[in-house]
Amino acid sequence: MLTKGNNLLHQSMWGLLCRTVTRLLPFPPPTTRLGRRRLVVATVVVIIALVVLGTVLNSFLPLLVLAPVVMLLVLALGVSVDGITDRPTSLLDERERALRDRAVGRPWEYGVAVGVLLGLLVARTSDNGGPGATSLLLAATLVAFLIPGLSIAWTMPDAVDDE
Amino acid sequence: MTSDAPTCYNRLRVIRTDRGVSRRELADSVGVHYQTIGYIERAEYSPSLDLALRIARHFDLPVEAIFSLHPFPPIGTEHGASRSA
Repeated sequence: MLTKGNNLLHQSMWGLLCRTVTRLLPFPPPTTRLGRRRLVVATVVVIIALVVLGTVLNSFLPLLVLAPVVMLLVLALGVSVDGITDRPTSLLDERERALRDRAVGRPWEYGVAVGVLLGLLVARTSDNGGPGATSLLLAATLVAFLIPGLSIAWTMPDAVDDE
Repeated sequence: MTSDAPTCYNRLRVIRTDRGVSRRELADSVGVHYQTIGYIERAEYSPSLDLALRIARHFDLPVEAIFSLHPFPPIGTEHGASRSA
C-alpha cells in the first residue's frame, strides 16, 4: 500500500518535473542516442568550465553563472533517460533495472570514492575554501553523482514511438 | 545488453501489427515500458524468459512462434516451401 502510494507520488512529481524542464529548456530533451550524447558532452564541458574558470579567475562568479546551467543540463539528462537513475525500483521494468544496475555497479562505487577523496585532497592543498577549491569540490561531487546518468545517456539507443 | 549482438531473434513487430495492438497496449498488458517493447522489436534488447512467456501468452501463441535463436525466414518463404512440398 505504502509502495503504491509512493509510486503514485513519484509518477505525479516526475510528470511535473518533465513538464517544467521541457518548458525551461531552449530545446526539447533529446530522445535519440546522438542527442543524448551531445547532452552528455555539453554537461561535461560545463563542469570542466566551472573548475577551470573558478580556478583561473579565482572568483565565485563562474560558479554562480554556471551552476544554474549545470542544474538545467542535469535535469534534461534525467528526463532524456526517462528518470531511470531516480525512479524507485518498483517503477522500473527488467530492461531499465538492468541498465541502472550496470551503470551503478562496482566501478561507479570505486570511482565515486576515488573522485571524492581526490577532490577533498586537492581542495585542501589548494586555496582552502576559496573559489577554485569550491568549484573543484562541486565538480567532483557532481561527476560522482552523475556517472550513472551520463553512462545510461551515452549507451541508450534511440527512443521508439508508442505507435 | 543493448550493445551486445542479438542472440534472440523475434517477429514481435509483425505479429503485433497484424493483431492491431500498439506498443503501449502490449507494454501495459505485460507490465513493461513501451520503449522496452520497441527495443525488443529492434533486437536491441533480449527479453527475459519471464517476459517472453508473458508476451507469448498475450498473443495466445507458443513462445517459439515469436522468439527464436535462429533468424526467422522472410514472410512468404515458409508458405511457398509448404506449397511446393
